[in-house]
Amino acid sequence: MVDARPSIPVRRVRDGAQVEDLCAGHQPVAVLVSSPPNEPGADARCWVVGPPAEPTGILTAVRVRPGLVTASAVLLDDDDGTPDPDTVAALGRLVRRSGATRLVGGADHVGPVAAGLAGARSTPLEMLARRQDAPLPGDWRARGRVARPADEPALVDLYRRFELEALAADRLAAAVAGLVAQRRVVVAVDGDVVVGAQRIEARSRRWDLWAGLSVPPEHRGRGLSRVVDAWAREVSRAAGRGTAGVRAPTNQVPHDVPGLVVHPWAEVRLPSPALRRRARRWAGRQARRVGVR
Amino acid sequence: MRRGTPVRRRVPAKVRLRVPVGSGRHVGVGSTPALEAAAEAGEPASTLVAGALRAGGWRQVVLTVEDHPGAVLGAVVVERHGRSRWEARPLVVDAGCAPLLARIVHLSPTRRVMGVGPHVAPLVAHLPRTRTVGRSAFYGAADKNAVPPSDLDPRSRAATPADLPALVALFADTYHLGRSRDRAAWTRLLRRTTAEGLVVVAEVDGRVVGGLLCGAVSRVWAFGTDAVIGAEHRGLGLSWAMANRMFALVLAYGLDMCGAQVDENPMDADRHYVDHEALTGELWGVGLDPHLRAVRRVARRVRRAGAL
Repeated sequence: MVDARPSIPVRRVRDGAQVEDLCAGHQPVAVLVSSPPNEPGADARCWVVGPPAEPTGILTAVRVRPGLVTASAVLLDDDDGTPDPDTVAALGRLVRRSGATRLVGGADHVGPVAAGLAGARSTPLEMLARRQDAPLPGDWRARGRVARPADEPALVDLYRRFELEALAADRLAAAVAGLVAQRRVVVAVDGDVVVGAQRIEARSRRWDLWAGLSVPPEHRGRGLSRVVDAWAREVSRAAGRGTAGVRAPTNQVPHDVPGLVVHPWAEVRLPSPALRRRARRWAGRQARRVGVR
Repeated sequence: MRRGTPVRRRVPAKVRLRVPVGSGRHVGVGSTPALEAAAEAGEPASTLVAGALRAGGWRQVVLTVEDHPGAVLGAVVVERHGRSRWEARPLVVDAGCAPLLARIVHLSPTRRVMGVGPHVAPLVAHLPRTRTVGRSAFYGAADKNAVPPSDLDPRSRAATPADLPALVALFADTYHLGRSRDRAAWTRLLRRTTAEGLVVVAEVDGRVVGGLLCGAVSRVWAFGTDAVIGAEHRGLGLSWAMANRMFALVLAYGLDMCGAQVDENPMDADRHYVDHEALTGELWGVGLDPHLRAVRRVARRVRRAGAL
């Protein structure tokens, strides 16, 4: 049986400002959709589903490194709470076409798309968004700062142990240098030694998505994650943005503070295009063996 | 080897051109760590030079006057800021090299010389193409240990790359203080400064109506170079909102901030800086006539077109 091709129009969008405008009503959940097209140097592709006058969905796919594509989607016409099946089907086709192996985003947006994808394994998480005026802990200012170029070797060591595992080792230094140049990393320091860090993964006009909070085991238990978290909030506050972060059940950050708003979040693992090709070939062989056409 | 095949000579990976100019002095091409250190040592008066060196790029030429051991006596960064808009930013360490720097500026296509008093004033007497000399108050205001402003106006925020089209339109169409209307040049400048996180916008009804940027940023100082608010939104207190937001950003990044009051700009920087008692000098802007060669070139084109 062949799937009927969805009749809904799909178009490629290259204007990051247009994507940001379309996602404005769905932030901070749509931050991973609106941010990549606006990132300088990011290898991002963005599609808008639906009529040009009334788009119903957006999908952004980012090529992190060769062989690793991450996608995020947002459904725009969820007034009645039920997603449009044509839009969901079109977004699913786009996820396949992009070759994404990860689909990340708000559970209300990503969940329906993932439900139609074979082999998808979803992990429920939660996104915590915070107002700008939440109180800060007492001694945070002296124990941290925004990362400087001199911190890059220490940050590379730190992330090599914990974070940015998606990047190959030879690209990690360049990625960290880019983040530091854009002042997107905050660090906790003990004297001049970097003992913790967190970075802005994505940003929209009103929200910063902070990710990758890492403190080495030998420095844990000293409240350093709260220092890093406080600096992240200060940087976002100064920029006029709120802070958002994704928390897994096994992870304690972002910390609970007054003013948190919780959005359901999902990270969906998808089979790689190569695996899908192999599975199709295997299924074809099995079908021929038993005589099914 | 086949006849006629060019001989490929081995060239060291990094060769710096250094030309003797007499009296034991040399003019070197390109930036050096010694020059960057000299520029940073003189901040905030030399932040324009330090920021230009840090930004780099192929649209700028850096010429350094050095003595025989290689100590920096002075330097000038000549940068293309748009179509027919070349700007020179001098750095005078030893006043004796001012005539030589002025000669370099004169021979370059520079149309404007910018810098704080001690770095520009010694050159003015030796610049034959001088047309106008403007002076304005220069302030080194925030220090990184200051407490950032707590009551930040929600109408202002840091810019993101998605704001670039609106900002380019705003600056290129309504702001002409010494810069060109070249949209490509504005896009380049705003893209770089937005990536560094040092552009602030003012929003009214979800529309970007104002912008403030730090166009020269060194490791320690950020120079607030350009600010604009759309004509129909002036008088709403948006300049304060943007200036406070920029102060908070600069402090969060661990930098100090400096800036200047330009008479033609309706944004009243005096009011923003005077509370900090931070008046540290004068910012000089020297306008130069176009080079004779450029005038002749234009005349030749006009003559060919049959207009004369």
